Amino acid sequence: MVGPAPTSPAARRYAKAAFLAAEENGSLVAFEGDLGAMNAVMEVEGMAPALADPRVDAKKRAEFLKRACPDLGDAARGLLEVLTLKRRLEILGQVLAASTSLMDVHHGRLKGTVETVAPLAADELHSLEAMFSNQTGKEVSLEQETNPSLLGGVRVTLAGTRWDASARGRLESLRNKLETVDIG
Amino acid sequence: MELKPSEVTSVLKKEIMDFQGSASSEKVGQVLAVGDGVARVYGLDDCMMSELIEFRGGVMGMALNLEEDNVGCVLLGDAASVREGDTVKSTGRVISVPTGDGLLGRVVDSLGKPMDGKGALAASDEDLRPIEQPAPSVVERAPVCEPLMTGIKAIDAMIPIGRGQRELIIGDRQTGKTALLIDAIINQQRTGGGDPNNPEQVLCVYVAIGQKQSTVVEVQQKLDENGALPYTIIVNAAASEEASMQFLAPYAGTAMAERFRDEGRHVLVVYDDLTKQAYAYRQVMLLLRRPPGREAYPGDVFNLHSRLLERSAKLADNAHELNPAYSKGGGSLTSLPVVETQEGDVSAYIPTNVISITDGQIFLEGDLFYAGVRPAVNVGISVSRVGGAAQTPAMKKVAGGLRINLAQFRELEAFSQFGSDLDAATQQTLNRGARLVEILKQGQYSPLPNAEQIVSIFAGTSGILDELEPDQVKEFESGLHEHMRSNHGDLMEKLDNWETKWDEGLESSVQAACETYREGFSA
Repeated sequence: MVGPAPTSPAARRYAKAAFLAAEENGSLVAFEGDLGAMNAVMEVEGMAPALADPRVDAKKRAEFLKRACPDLGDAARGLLEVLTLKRRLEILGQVLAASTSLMDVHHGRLKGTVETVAPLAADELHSLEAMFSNQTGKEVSLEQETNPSLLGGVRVTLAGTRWDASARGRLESLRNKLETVDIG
Repeated sequence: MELKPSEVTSVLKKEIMDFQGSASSEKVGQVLAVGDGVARVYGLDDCMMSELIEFRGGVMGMALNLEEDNVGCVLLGDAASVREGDTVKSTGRVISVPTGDGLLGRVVDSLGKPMDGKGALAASDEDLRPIEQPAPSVVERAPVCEPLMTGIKAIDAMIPIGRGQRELIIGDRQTGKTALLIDAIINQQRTGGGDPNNPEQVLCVYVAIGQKQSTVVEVQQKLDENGALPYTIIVNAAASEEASMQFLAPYAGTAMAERFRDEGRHVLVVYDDLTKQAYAYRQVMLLLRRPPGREAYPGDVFNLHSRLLERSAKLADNAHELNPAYSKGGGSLTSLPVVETQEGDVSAYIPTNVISITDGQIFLEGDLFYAGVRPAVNVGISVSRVGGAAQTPAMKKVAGGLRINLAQFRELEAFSQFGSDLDAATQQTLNRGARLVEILKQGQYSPLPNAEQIVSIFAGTSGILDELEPDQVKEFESGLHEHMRSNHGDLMEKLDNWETKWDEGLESSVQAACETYREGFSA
């Protein structure tokens, strides 16, 4: 993934409204916690399709989610109610993703991925994160991915920019260079 | 060129030893959807309009729709290797094509890649020019003042074209549009002997859009046979190529021509044809989900052609002092766009658009073509709005009454079908008209020099042909040309000079020479 997951304009509108409501109430911290809780429920296998299943009554689906996350704050609860009322519960996953992105922007956080051939040690990951935090001026958190095709080195993708220090990247740039060599 | 494996190895070895592999950073995005030659890409937040995007396998795309959460791209190559979820890279470059002398005599595609099997182009990175360029401003231009001779009597006499003009060639399919363009290109050989290094030589760019490959091969062969290929570039976006390549071809051809224009040279660009470019643009825009307008064309289809044709210009002699982009002033870019009509309907969307953009139009008519009047120019509705100022003075004088004579002839011709009793004056106009029509007929691939054209038109308008039968006119004309060149070489040389004024002395000498020949011909 090269950045936050793509979301529909409708999901972004709901997310922004909920975020602004939480900000106005001064309950951003609680809202963030609620987002985490709802995300955790959504991540349970089969949950996202089940919550978007039109054969089940939307109210029942919302009720289930509320029971799964019993301590939702006003903003999160309101968001669920409105989505149910507007028959938009199927975009809940996207709304949560968009809300999380808004939270990250608000707190100056950047999420990215780091690809390596073998998993990095915790201190190596932290030093990478610190390096990118210094460079971007934001709090960077990197998710690890293993990619044997890199052959060696690291490749970091952060906010739509890819830093390639992998062996494969270097080989490819060597290939590009050799392809354009004038041998005539 | 012979390559020795050992030399290649040593060059590559040096490159490898000097290679400094360092971490690179690039803007990346992800393919959301791909199909029908277009792709939607997520990410690429800083993407520019018309920026080149690199897809997997080196396939390039061009960003055309910058939307809130995605970028719509057209693919400029084989879309089959692009998959959903692929990572794409933005390049920070807009589409550029190689330009310069290295392209002359070559056939290239819309991206400037050679496609004629004659090896790599002799063009370096410095020769790259973006295909979209702003048109010269008002102060950098000069009025059209020099003629661009097509070698076709009907055009040079009645619808003269000047250097820097945009003259539309419009007509149904199979009315001789391409033939006319080829003749115009072949005739440019007279400007500099066909030597591209001669600064007087008018260079040519033939842009084939949506044409059959066989047609393009034929054009290339004909140009080659007639010695016109060395000063011509052929940009080919054939019917089998992606729609994106077809709508980019005219811009690429213009960028190549502009290089010469900016160096003070004269260039003729022909776009064959802009209707197919508009079709290709409509296809791409509908796939990118831009709102369709009249005839399903997108709203900016007028701009598609106007921004292209505005780049045709005659530059001021001091243009290089006003703008450092020009290395020398005085150059010109003349364009002959082609538009194909359906059943002669010039009021369709694209024809009316291009008519309003250009400085005149040459209308080719199917009925005339099938009646044997070739080139099938309908002089009644063909005009040149600025070319008159560029016509050679002698031709202007000689051909002055030609258009009105022909118009009277056409009117009386229709009228005479109903009655048999015609007065002598009407009969005279009809006779003269029939011979004028004959004298304006011209074979393919045989453009004529200025002097021959003037002599032919003079013979028609001065009544020298009146006593001949119409079917003798052709034979008379070719004999007259031969007679004039062999017996009155000085006169013909004088007429070939663009500056020569048509005075009474010159007129009487030409008349006397023509009459001498007629006497010999009739005897």
